[in-house]
Amino acid sequence: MSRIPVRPVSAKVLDAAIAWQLCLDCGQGSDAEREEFAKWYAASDEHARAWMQLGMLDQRFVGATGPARSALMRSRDGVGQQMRKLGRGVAGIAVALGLTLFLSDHYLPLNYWLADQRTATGEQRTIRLSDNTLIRLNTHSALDVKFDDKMRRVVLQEGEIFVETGSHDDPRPFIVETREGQMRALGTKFLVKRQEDGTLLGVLQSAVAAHPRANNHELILHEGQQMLIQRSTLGPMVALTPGADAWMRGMLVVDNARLEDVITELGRYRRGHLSVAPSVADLRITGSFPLNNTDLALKALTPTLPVAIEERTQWWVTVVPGDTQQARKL
Amino acid sequence: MSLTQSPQNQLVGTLYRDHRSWLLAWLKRNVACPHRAEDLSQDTFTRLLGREQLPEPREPRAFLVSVAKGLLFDYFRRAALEQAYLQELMLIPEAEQPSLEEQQLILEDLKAIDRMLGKLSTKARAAFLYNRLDGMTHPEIAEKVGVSVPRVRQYLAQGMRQCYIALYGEPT
Repeated sequence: MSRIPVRPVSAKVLDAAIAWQLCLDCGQGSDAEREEFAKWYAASDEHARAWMQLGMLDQRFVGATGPARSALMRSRDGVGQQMRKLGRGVAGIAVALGLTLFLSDHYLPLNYWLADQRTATGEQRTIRLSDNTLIRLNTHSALDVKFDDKMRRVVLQEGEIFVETGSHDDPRPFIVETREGQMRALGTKFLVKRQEDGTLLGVLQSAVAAHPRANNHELILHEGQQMLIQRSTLGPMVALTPGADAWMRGMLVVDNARLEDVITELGRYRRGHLSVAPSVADLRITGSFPLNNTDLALKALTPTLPVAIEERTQWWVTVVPGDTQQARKL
Repeated sequence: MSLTQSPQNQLVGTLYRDHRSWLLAWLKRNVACPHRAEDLSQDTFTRLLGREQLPEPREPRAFLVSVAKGLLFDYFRRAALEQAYLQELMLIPEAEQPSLEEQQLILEDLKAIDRMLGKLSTKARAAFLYNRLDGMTHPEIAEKVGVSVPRVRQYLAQGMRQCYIALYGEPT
């Protein structure tokens, strides 16, 4: 048996490893996901260590077959009752502790893997909810659907969605929620995107009422407007970015955009590392790019901008100044 | 080694002197075996000595009971496991039963697993065991335990995390 390093990994890496186990468990997970996993595994020693350590857990369970297995399955049956006889306390505390340990903010990346609906990198999917609402999930997005008697609630954990609300006779409000705030649909079509700096709401039709998570301040956005929602503030209302919904047609449409922003956007649809050299990051570009073939999209940059695509491996691509590349070729 | 007593040791000493027989009586009411009650009462005070901090309790008896309950919980769990295992063994033909020595080893393994899963709720524990021991898929577990598939994933993640911490320590 190989020696397993006992040093614990970081919480973040452990989370990622657990997420991968859940994803790949019982032969689940698509080919794309398995490929993505292989890359994650190879990316650092710590990743490999976490994976190996988690894998070793199974060793602990191999002996538990037959009577041992059955004993383990049912051994807790009477214990709760015995404890209750002693009065309130302990058992409940232990259970609550286990849960809070896990659900604290620190482990949020897991939400993607635990979500009801999710798309892999580069994937898009349309779902229809029980009230006939149509939702399109963009690349690497995750959401939970939480409908009850009072509300139709959709929690966007990660990524980007397009929403077209269904039944307008339904008395329950339709709400999209993110970590930053809530958006109440007023019979409409709209876009919600989770970004690093907050939630971007864009209204394509009718109106949406938005309020940040931390207070009750509310603003109503109308068709053709967008706004950045942060935990305690609502950003200014501005005109909807042209082409904001082009992703649904498989295109990225930009108008006088910074190259770095375009590259970041393309990176969302592509597995592996994609970055841009600082010296060309501020170049401006206008055009449209195919999202289902980001290699092609990158190639399309070179005739119009003084840049070159440096492909160290398939998974590690950098957009660099064009002349250095030429110099190297010469 | 110094023989002077720390304030903490003195406090435990006082608790022991004033409340030990009361605690023992309480334990004997709740544990069938008197020897076991005796052990648990000793363990309670030993555990207090091992604590890094020990503020003087306002209600010493309630405090001692809360510590003893933690130990009792472990004890009940171990006893239930042992009993369940022995009962399960009775169900298979004698010829197929492991030797007494093997039984002991298996029981030790089982107790180790049980300790690892210590903090999981009943449902989370069941979900995790179905997955690890029986290789059940997430939807199968969801149906068996009566929760949603995302909830099953949450349970499994909790289980893995628990076991990880038990074996390798808290992640940094």
